[in-house]
Amino acid sequence: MSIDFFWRLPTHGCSTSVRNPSLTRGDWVPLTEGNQAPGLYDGRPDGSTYIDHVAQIAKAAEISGFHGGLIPSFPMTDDPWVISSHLARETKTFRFMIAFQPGFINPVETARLTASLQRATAGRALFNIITGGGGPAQLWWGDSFAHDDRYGRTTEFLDILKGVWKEGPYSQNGKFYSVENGQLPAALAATDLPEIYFSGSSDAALQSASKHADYYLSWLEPFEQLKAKFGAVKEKTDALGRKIKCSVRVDLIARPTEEEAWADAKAGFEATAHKRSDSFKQASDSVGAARQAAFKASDAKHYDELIIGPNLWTGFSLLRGGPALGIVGSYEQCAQKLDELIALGTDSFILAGTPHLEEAYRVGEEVLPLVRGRQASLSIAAE
Amino acid sequence: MSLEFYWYLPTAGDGRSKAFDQLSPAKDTPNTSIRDLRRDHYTNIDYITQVARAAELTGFDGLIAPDDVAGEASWIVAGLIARDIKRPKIIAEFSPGAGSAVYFAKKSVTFQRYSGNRLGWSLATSTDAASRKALGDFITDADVPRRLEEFLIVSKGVAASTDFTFKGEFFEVLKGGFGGPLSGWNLPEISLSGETSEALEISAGYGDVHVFELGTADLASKIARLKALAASKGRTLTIALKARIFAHDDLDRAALEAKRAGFEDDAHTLTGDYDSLAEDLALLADLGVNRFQLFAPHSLETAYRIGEHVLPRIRQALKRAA
Ligand SMILES: Cc1cc2nc3c(=O)[nH]c(=O)nc-3n(C[C@H](O)[C@H](O)[C@H](O)COP(=O)(O)O)c2cc1C
Repeated sequence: MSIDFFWRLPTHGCSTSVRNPSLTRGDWVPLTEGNQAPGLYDGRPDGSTYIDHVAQIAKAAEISGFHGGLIPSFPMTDDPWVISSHLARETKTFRFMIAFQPGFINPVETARLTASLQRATAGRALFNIITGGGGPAQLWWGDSFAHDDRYGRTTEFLDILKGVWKEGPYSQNGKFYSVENGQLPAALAATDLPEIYFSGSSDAALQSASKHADYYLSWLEPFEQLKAKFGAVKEKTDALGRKIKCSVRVDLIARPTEEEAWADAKAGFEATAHKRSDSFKQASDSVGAARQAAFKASDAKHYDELIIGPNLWTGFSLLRGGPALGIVGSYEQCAQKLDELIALGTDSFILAGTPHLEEAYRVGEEVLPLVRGRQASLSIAAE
Repeated sequence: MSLEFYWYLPTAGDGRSKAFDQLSPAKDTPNTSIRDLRRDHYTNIDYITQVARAAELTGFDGLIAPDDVAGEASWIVAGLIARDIKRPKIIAEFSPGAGSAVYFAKKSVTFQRYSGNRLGWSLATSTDAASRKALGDFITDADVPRRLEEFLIVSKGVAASTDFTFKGEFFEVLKGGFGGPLSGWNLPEISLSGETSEALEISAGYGDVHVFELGTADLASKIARLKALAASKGRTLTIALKARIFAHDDLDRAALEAKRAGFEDDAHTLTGDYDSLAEDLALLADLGVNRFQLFAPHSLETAYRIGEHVLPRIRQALKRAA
């Protein structure tokens, strides 16, 4: 069985170089020389907006062999529904993985939004169902539900979304959502349900994922820990008589040689010396985020204190918002790491590299062709 | 006085969709004597985009994606056409029951950033409780206006401030608002509708546009009342009028098309040749209408006919009058 590779669309800017995280394409830092995309011409706005840059990345990803991209959603980011619908008509095969919190739009409306997108793109929409990190950020969104209630709500949301889409007229009387005789018009109901990726590391998350998710999605964690986590999800889902696949979301610094890759990690680390803050040290009730913060990346004095194994570095959270652990190495080494992850139960990847545009080509052209996938996993498992 | 013209997109298909569209229940069996290479490359959205371009190319000021449960989702349609449509405004119609006020405001910021503040909202909730329940919305009739008001308070609050807190019955937010490049964008222009005093009161207090339907009894006095109400709150409102329209260079043919479509002598429908339609619209403008929101069973050709023949007549008349 083959492996799916996705890329990531950055929704709040993208650094122009992993060696200098302060320059950011997009208007999250002021547009200036060395940082003018989009859109300055001769120092003045040229009418392009951030969507023009995101379109570039999506096209690079589809051309270089990725199925599509994860489109994250946070308070400071642009919105994945708007991005997907804007790019639907100018991409050909790119699949839009919309990060979405079920509390924010009701399930019937979401079914219609998604089915319309499916129809317009011949089935290129999918979800990363996120259930929110809690804390002040959750209330910023206008959502006051507690952690485990949020997962209960996610489960009901997906019950109803699937019900009105495929079993309409559909009724359900829930604790968080209800519907009476809900359905989609025939042409929309005929489209495929989106594949559901599901993120969240707590027990409540695993419970909800087991019922509805097609893919359980995790940030990279130390391999043994990840193997145990994937094992637990697959076991729980088996017990419910379902099958679930597992996916890893991970950043790479892939270079022709390992020396160049580490040199770039080191340069990036040193460029953040003046204000080294870990993007994951924030108030939240997220179990997954706590695991990433536990690497304590911001306490390190030297980049190599953050090397936790061959080609594994926990400094990524210093370079950009997001999780700490990622892969650093030559093209062959990166492919080898991906093969190891496949051997421990990974069925799909969401990769990313900085800058997202150029690195989509690089990883697509240099790393993916070296991945041996299931063939490799047999020999690795035997070792 | 300036007049604006908006065109409704056929999100649930129209007389033309039969050519390719599965939404049409009477989908023709394919004619196998003709080699057909379309396969499933085309859907209603390809046609909708052409209608949107038609309206842009013929001088309309804006487009409206209606919230029609029989068709495509309005927000997706608005996004799908946004990169093709450069000048006109794009209004997405939806119900405050569809989701959180903060989230709709947040999505709108992205839309405004990409489109240069061209997004509008048209907020309306079905008046039929069973239809609402089918959409997962169990609100009572009496609560509908109160929820609309809270939706407006919260979405305006988070759009205007970075420290907005509100706890209502339907929506809440703590220290909400948009920072960095997400700040400073206009909340979309807000269109509201309804004829009850509650509806007029909310429009006067929060709306930018109030939409009446052609055929509304005592339209002139309702417009006057609403304008006075808004003025008493120190606000002004754009008055829009929604109408179905049949246009042809020959009056009899226009009437024939209306009759065929089942809208002969219909109070919500304008039927005429180009000169008579220009006159009708001018008379309605004299009652206080600033914006016409038009639609037709054959969207594409009617948009061209109106845009090419009726709009220039009206715009020239306005220039002469000025
Ligand atoms: C790969 C991945 C991507 C995520 N993307 C987002 C996102 O875009 N927006 C968001 O608010 N949370 C995101 N999250 C957070 C989780 O979905 C979840 O809300 C959080 O981890 C709290 O759940 P937990 O306590 O079950 O771990 C992501 C998590 C993972 C693992």
